[in-house]
Amino acid sequence: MLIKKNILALPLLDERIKKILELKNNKEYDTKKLLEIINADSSLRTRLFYLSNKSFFSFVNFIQSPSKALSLYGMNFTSSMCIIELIFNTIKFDLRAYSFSYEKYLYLLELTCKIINEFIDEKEIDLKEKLLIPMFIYDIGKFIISKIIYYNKYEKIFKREFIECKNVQIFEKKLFSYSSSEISSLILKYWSFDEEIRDIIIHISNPSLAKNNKKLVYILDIIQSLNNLSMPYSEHCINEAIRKARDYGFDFKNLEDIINKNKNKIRILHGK
Amino acid sequence: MENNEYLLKLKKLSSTCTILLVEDDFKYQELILKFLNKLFKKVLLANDGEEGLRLYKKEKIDLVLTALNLPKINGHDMIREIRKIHVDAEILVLSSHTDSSTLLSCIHLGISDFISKPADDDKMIIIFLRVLLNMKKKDDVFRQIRLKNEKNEEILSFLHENSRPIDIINYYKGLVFRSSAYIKEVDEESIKLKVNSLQLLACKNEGFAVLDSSLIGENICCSLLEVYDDNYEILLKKEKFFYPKLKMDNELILESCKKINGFFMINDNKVLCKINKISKKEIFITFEDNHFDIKKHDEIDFYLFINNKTSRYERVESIVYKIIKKDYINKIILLIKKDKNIEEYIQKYIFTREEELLEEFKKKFLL
Repeated sequence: MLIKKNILALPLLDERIKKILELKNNKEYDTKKLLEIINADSSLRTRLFYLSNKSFFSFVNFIQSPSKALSLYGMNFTSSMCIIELIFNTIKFDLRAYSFSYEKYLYLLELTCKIINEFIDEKEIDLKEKLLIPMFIYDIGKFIISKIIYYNKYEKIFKREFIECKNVQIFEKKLFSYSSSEISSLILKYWSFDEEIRDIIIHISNPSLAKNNKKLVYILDIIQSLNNLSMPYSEHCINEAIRKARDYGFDFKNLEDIINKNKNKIRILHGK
Repeated sequence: MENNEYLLKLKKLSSTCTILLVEDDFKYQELILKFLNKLFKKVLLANDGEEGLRLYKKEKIDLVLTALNLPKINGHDMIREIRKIHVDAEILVLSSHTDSSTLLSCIHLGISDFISKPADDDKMIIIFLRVLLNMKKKDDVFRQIRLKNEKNEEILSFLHENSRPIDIINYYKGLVFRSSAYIKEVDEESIKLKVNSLQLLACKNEGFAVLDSSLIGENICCSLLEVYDDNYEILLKKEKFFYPKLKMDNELILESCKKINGFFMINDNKVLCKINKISKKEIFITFEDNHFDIKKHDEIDFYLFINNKTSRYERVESIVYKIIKKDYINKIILLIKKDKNIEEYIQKYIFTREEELLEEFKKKFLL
């Protein structure tokens, strides 16, 4: 009931998301219209420049116009990033119960995005692009969980048990009857968001049940292990992610190598 | 001939009005009543201030013509009481006073005009015509505002009933937050909106919001009354409708920071300036007053410095658009002459500054 009440209290999705999704799904890429939307919103412009100019993506040129960013990233990536930004502007960020600040959470998502981008073969551009939105928003359900926990003053008990838990999704399900990715999917349903993305996200906590986009769901399951908020990129999480990669038939050694290559960035995440 | 023209105009205006005459001098009453009855639709007479006030409360009066020395309640007190009922009431004073302090006290009461006793018809025609013309002007303006407001209110109700979004705008140091919101409740004075999380924070920080719909020509400036965090809702008080100077966000004017400054040369003097605000088209500068003779429309070469990777002074050809002097400080708005390179140079700064401000905002307000 609490989950439902909090989902129903959410604002409706920004009209622009529908427009961007339409532009994204239309084969005659209308970059002009997308640029119009970006140019009219400082948060979208800022997000694009941030991505273009941060060391994560190692671009040499300093990008300082939305049109340059769009030509560099292409329509799919740019529109996906805009959608992600607008969703993050819509729902109130709250990971207090998980002891995660906005900055740290964003860093974690970007780190994983970088690692997964390197992990997926260059030839699989479609897969990479399809993964982008779910990779960033599959866990927005946690914002609702955190809000409920704080509202009801359960944070001390939650934090104590959460730190020790190895599987966050099972832990959340035990407490709320829903895992956070299932709550994310309910939020997207309330927003009448893209059905395919909803279907991908709802199956993260049980990938074997996915009928479509299985490969995507498997990768998100791996991501979920790396991003375990109780101990992201800990030895346990990395091992679990590698094990899953092996079980799903991916090149798990490659994943291990990429994670090792990014040790410095992981150290920053751990505050070292 | 001229007076006939005035009289015709006056008749046209006065024939729909009711006037209240408050005068205790019977001789004067008769004279003025004769004049008023020819012009006004209805003429009411009161012999003292008390009766005048009673009639004013009872009847629908358009104009009051009153003497000052009245029995029971004097003219000044009656005017004060009438003002409490209608702050805009049109009141003419019949006065034989030449005493300036008495007249001055009437001015403070906001009367429309004086008619000095003894008043001849020509003088009265001109004064009545002036007052009634002003009344008509005021009426027209009010009618327009009322019509416009009624139309705007109707549009807001339409948006509410049909779950159509309205844009909400907030600012943080010049950075624009704009998103669509949905009306939950609307009445004459207030409006309750469901907004997104970022907008909620921006509105809480600013205490104000501007509402904009493509269906309404004007924007609505609102003050924040209440925030309902759990439901992403805000209650706003509609303060005023206004025509926005800027409708486009790419014309935004960012508040400046320490990274940016500049100077210009005048009479071989280098005048260092602080940059308060900047857009692609305007630079708002301040500098200490050194008695430089700068006039509106003067052409100035402004040297703009932005501390970035290039860190060099760029010559910006500009024209003085506005000068504001206050406490030995000159505030000047420079209009930048069209130059693609300069536009790009400033645009780069604006984008970088936007990024900094958004990051600052999120760090400050997001959990």
